[in-house]
Amino acid sequence: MLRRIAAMLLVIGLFALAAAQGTLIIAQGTDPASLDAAKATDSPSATVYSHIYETLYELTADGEVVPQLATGVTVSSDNMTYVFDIRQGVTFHDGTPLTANEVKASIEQFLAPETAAPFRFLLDRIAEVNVLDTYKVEVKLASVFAPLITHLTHSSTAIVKTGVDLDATPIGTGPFEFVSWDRGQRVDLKRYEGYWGDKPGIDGLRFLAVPESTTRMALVETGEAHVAVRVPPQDIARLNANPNVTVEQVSSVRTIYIYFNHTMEPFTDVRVRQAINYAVDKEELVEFVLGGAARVSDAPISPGVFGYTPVGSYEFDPEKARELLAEAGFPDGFSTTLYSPNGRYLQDIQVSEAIQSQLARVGIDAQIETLEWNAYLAKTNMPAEENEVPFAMLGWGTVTGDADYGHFALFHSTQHVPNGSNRAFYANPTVDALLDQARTNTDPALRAVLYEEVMKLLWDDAAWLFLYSETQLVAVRDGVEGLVIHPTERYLAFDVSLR
Amino acid sequence: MRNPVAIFGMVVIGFFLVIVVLAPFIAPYSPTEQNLRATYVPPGVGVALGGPEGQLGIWVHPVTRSPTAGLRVDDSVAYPVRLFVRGSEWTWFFGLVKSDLRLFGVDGPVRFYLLGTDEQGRDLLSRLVHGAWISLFIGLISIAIGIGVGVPAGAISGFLGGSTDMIVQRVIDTLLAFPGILLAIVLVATFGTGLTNVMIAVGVASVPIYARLVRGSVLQVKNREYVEAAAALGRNRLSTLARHVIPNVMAPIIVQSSLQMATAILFAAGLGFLGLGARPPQPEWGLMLARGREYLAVAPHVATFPGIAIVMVVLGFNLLGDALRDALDPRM
Amino acid sequence: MLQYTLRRILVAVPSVLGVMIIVFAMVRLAPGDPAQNLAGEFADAETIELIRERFGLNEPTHVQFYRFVTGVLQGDLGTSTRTYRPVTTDLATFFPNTLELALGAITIALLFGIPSGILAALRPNSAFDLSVMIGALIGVSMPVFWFGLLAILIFSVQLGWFPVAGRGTLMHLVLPAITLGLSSMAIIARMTRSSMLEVLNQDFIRTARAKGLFDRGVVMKHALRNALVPVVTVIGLQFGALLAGAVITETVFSWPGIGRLLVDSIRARDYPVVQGAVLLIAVSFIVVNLVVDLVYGFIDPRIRYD
Repeated sequence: MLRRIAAMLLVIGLFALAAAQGTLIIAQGTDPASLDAAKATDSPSATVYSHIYETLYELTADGEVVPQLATGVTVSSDNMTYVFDIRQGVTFHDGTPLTANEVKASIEQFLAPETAAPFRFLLDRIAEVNVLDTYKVEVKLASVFAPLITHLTHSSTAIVKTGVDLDATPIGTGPFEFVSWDRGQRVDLKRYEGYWGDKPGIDGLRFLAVPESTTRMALVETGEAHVAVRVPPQDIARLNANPNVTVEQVSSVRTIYIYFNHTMEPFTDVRVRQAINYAVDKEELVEFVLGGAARVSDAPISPGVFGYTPVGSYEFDPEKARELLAEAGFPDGFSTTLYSPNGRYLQDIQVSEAIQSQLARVGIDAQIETLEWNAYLAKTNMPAEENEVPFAMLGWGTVTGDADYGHFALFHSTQHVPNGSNRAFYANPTVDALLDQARTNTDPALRAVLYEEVMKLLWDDAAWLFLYSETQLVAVRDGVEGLVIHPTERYLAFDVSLR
Repeated sequence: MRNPVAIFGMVVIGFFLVIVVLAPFIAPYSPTEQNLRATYVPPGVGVALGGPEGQLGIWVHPVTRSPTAGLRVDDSVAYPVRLFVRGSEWTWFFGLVKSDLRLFGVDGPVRFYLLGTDEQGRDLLSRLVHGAWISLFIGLISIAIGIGVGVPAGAISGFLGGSTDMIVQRVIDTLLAFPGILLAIVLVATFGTGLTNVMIAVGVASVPIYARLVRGSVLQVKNREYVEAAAALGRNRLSTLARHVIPNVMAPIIVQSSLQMATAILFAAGLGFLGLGARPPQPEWGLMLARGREYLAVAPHVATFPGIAIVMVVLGFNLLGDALRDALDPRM
Repeated sequence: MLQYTLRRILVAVPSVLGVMIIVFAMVRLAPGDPAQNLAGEFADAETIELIRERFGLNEPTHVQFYRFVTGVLQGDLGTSTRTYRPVTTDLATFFPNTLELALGAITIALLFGIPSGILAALRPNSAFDLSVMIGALIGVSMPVFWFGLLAILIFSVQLGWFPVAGRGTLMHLVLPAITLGLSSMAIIARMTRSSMLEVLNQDFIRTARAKGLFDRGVVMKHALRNALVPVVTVIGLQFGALLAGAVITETVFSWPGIGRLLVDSIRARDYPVVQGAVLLIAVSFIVVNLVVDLVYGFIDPRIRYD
């Protein structure tokens, strides 16, 4: 019996090896939560299903919005109606053609309350979707909404085959089709021969779920995987010393910051907030804790997002920090609690500990409180009167590539938690007015000016302790060409070839 | 007690207790003081036997690490390491003892990292030494919880018997079948990370063991003739039982507690691995090992020293438990 | 025997119910909720409300508990709030993997633990005995994840003998099984040694030895049979512990097992999966212990079921 099992296992193993030829193997940190685009919010899921589904528009790695399943759009003069031309000659993996009907059904499924899509807010300004002819879809808005097209690039708004269980059999129009999913282990995809565009150069794709980073790096060192994501910064030099492995560094749109609770003493005082910005040596954090794998922030959002302009810097200046604290009435500093996630972002707890020791030098005694992630969210999500969090680290990925996503939910006074994501309880009527205007104006040039003004205000007001934007560190084995490491933290293998 | 293995166990525990008591004196630096310019420096780097002009003793060169230039030793200067130096002031035993005397330190503006530094550039030796009492504390408190709840539960269950016994036994079965990790996670989620939760989780997990021990012992004694006889003579059954049960059950409880110390320390390390243990930057050994594992491939010493410390102390308590068992209760 | 088995099962019912109540209450006591987790750190209140409704999380707690219990009785454990999949599907996927790992671990533990225990007992206080006992003690004293990661770095990365991680061939099973089985191996070796020693010191064997009737084969058979009784108990307890305690090994080796599923689900406040997984672990713990008791009687017929 045992021998038979052993033989069976061996055969399975050999089979797995044979299947791996011409297959790119990517080791991710976790298993996808779901392969239904509307239902998953994690980037491992998005990485996998971005190969299966396509969106109406595509956000390129350079931050450009280009047509994908839509070939063009006509916008009415009141900016309330969009008519999209749907690409012809596109088929789903089950062979059925893509027409306006499918697009309408997919968008409606995304918006349906039963779907309860976590990213529903991206498109919730849409009032109705109509089919005009086989390849024309009309989208009517409830109110003018400038970021609509950029939001249609978000991977969760992908056009999917409706009426099937996408989690079990994901069907889309993308260059790869679904083969199998061993939960907790691996997802296998293969090239879709009926793809409308350039077909991929590899036969298949395999995604492994490997939570422990030492293990994940070991996989790429031994060649059991071609790509391993989320390289710990301390491993960069060691992996680069391996002749078969290179660590790619690509900036991410994720900005890491520590917000102040603006309803809580002493963070109500702008001098205290500025003092903390001066007291923290961001360059030191980036170089010595993150191994250079980050970029010191010069705006609340990162480069690569529409609307980004560098608006300033708080040069490390402990002297000035002490002066500002003294002016604010804290010549000997004060005590507070710094909330920090542990393992959510690159080196998050290490950075928090370093900040703790930097703040101690100007007299601020910050105890570190780490909570398990979900409790952390719950605790920072309390309404102002119940909120006990004075000072907490978070990261925000502007995954739509539009500044609206990076500002409105975080700084508008109507978006205080638990309604929106303004955990800092920031409230500034000027900022509110500018954000409203930028949201409903469709002229890109004017919007850029408005966002620059918003960012300047936020910066001078020291709304957050501005830290850095992350760099994605990805270990890639030699012989893998053409892997796209997207700033939205997805790894795309459309153009990969294996040597 | 002539068993060499047992003696080894006693020596290890004795050494451990000495460290707990003398921690701030033995540790050259503060356990939380960081130096981001000297992260994960391996032990021995920048350390020379003999001074620049041929003097005797250990001399230290300044060491820095940067991601671009790597580890750098500045050979141009060196400072001697001296015993019994005056360093920064420390307090111990909740402020009762205050001094600035340290076992050793460098006579100069550099640091001597006997066991190297960790990922935040903290002195590993200082952290290990200051972390010793935390491990002891985790063990003691969790044992207190286990005994405090388990012993009365077991005694009542055994003494009363009948439906009370039935109910207590079912509760214990439930506890046994319930994954301790869930309890730990819920505690951590509710109250934040920290040692309290670790101690409660380990303590609760040990309740059934103590309860069973005591119950078994009570049942054994309860029906013995001398107890029955004492009852027949009109003596209080309960006090008779207590007089006979307590000496009977002391030995297994002591043995179990020694083993429980070992289990508690290991459990705390496991929780540290899952990110549910002590609160950073506390120098708890499990947390240090868990954090150090991310540096296993580049700087193995960061994990190795806390790992060895855990293994030694756990081993010590296991050996002590074995020796106690042999000495107190040869039947076990 | 049958009656005894039935009674044991009946007695386990309150324990299972207790586990159900505790797990149901505990996951809900922890701050955070499935909707918040699914929606992410930047969801608005409206989206969270929609998700709560979708999974019936708006209903009063007692209604949710009633639905949980009636669901269990009908073999329906609900839908995962993280993956939108039926919980039973998830459990059916992950549980066999953990079983495979635990079986591998217990096999290794028995394969090395029993012989070294017996050999150590036959020559008490010899160098072999001492090294087995010290080895066993180090085995139980080592943090599991440290051992596992060192094993990967040495045997997979440096020497290339075994695959790094994942599940598949027999080779994939070796390192995780050793890592998980290490402490059980140590405990079994110690248990075998001490119970073997005890049996060897018993009167009938001493008498046999004194009378010169020391037929090694016969005595060994008797001694072993008697010595294995407590060992079987330990194996039972260990196996239960392996099922629940595999989470760390599973994380280190990316093994898709129930322990990892449980921890991930607790973190995501995936109430239905947490409830289902804990229930499954508790039930298998009870079943394993029942089986051990029955085997116990089989080995040692003196034990009566009454």
